[in-house]
Amino acid sequence: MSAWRVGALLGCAVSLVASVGAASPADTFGLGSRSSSMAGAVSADTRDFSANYYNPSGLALARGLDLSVGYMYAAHRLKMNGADSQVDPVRGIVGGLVAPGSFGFIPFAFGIATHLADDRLSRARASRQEDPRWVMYDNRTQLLFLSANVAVRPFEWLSVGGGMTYLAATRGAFQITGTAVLPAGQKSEYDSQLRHEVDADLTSVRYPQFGITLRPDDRLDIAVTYRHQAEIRLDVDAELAGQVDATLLKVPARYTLDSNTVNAFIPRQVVLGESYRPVDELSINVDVTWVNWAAWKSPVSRSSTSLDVNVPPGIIELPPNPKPTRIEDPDFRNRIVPRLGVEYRLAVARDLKVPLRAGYLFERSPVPPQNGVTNYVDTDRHALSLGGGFVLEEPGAVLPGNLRFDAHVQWSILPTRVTLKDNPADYIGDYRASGDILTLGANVSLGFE
Amino acid sequence: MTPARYLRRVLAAASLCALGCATLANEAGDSTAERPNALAGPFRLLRAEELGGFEAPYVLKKKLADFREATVLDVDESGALGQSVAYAMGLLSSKPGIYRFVASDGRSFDETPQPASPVLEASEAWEGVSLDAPEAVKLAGEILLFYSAEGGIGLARSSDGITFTKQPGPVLGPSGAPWEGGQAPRAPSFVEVAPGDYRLFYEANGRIGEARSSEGSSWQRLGADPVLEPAAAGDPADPPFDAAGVGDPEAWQAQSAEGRRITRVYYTGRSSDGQSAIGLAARFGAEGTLTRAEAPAFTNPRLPRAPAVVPYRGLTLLFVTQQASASEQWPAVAAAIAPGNVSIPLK
Repeated sequence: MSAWRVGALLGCAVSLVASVGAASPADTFGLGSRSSSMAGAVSADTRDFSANYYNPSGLALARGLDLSVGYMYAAHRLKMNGADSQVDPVRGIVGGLVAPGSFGFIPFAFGIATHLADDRLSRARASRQEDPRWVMYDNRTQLLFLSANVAVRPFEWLSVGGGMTYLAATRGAFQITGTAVLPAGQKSEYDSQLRHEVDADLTSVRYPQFGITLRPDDRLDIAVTYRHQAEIRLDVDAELAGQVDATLLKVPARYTLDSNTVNAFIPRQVVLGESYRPVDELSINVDVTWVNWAAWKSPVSRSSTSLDVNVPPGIIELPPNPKPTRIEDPDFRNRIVPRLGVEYRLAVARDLKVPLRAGYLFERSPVPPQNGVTNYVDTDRHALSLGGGFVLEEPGAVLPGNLRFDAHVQWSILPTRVTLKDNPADYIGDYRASGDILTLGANVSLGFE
Repeated sequence: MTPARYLRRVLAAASLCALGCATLANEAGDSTAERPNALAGPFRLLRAEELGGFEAPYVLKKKLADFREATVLDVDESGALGQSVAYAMGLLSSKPGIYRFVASDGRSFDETPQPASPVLEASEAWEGVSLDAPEAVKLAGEILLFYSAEGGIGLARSSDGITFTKQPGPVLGPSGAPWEGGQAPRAPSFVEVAPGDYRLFYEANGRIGEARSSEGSSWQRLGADPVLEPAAAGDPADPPFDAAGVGDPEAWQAQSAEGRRITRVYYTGRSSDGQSAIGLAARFGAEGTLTRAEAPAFTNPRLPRAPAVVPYRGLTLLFVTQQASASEQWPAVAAAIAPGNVSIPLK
């Protein structure tokens, strides 16, 4: 069986189970060391597993079966008013494959890629819009990414590709029935007799992506990529139905809660990129990404609760039903993200090359000034990347291709942003936010030709 | 083995080692992180483990003594919870007046007053039969005790906080201002907005006004309008908590994290259905009307009123007068804290 068929079968198998989860730390930190070390400016210069994210059409440019696996780690040092916000690191295994082949005379390729977090598959968190939170880093990057794509190359100068990325969503319900005892006299709350039922589903959300690569000249590739938007929801329904035991009387009670939260939002993106090779050893890449942040959905929980208890006044003190939250329009702004990447491939020996890479990107924060009720904390981001590695051609008889090792480091600088509240009676008050993020990663790849 | 082959094997081995660098899981770590907070509210009631020897959240509670309308002084002013003195209305041994209570941790007040007799009681003709709503402040080595009485706001001075000497007559009496409706001002709250620039916020006719003084005993009203009026009626299905009246001001001068000076005024908000809650209104600097917070600073079904606020390093304590329990109408003084996620367990 040919290599691409093995890959295709494996990919199909993964696609069938892909509904267990997915999404996009790749948006923030990139996917794969080669691509990340060029700040993600690779939409017109990707043919390994990272093409599944950057440009699926790049899969069709692969020269043979290509397997990659690696690890990445991003450490946040984000601060508000000088205090560490303790945003969790993002870390996990990254990897994937590209399996090229042909349909008749038309080159064809299949690919899959994943970022598999090694401490959590996904994080669900609903918070109040008043609570200061690093909205771009505390939840959005804590997701599992899985993407499967196909690509064809009908002409030497044209490749097209597309596929699906999968995200995990949570939907659940729990029900409590029985008698809740109010502590009094000889009775305590531990005498309560309650039955719990929990019903939770981890469901999938999918979004498509497409890419085109044009090669008008041997030294120039031009690419366009489209990634659709997706939202990961957290829906919880809860019901407590039973009795409240207040020693002297038992009161029927019913409490219901419906909570709907957009736990993470992946915005729609359009990428225009080029890769120019003035000499064989050098690639100069530029990507420009339009990000549709204006469609961003607030992560604030839309909740409604109801407490239905009829008790004589003065016997039991019940809290009033909370008023529904008035969710402010987040009013995020669309942004253009420029990226620049350079790769120089140094030939050390006949069968050993050492690629050296660098990159830079600038993300202007899409979050408007937070001088009102909301506190979505974010700042601009400058990211500087460096990377390198080696390529061993035909390292042994069992690998008639190449062995590649790539590593990268990326330093994201988040300059200080000061928030001055309009209302002097604001409970959060003025604050300033700043920080930096250090990302490290490495990949090993095996290329079969 | 040739050097080139040896190099290839070393590089291949290093590459494979890189594959094994995955690590073990850990817990989400940012739930306890310190976040920006103005330390102005909303408040939560103190819990049993945060109060010594009391029926939490109450710090002054005695049937028939009717402890109420406390004003609290941080005596050592160290910024940490320490020696504190509360002056509160009470009725002990048939003597109504302002009693003095002490606490060594800022909130667990000894319910036996020190001294046993009131430090201040009604004695002048203009005061009527009883005093009300005390406000204690430290100024230039003295303790000033403002109080409400029938004829307006009075002032007494003390060097030790126990023996007070009253200033003759009210320091702020009724005025002809239309919004005050001819009522005597009450519930004074003193704040120093700048050296030699003192302000007295007071309640009259369900509104809050402001007066100015350069030495603390002679006051002139500021402006022709109140600085805070009852909220507009708004949505009938969701009426404001303070649409029927505002009063019991408690002023506090603060500074934002970016150095902006803020005058905060806590107050009792009353709604048309008889409920009450503690609100917060503020302004940047020393002048102008007050802007309300988005939500009340403290709510409770036991009809809280008469707030007293004491800021400490990293937290703020709020003392309110409210019903003694769900079924007992007599007043008692309860304590609350902001931010709500801060805990102050007893040592």
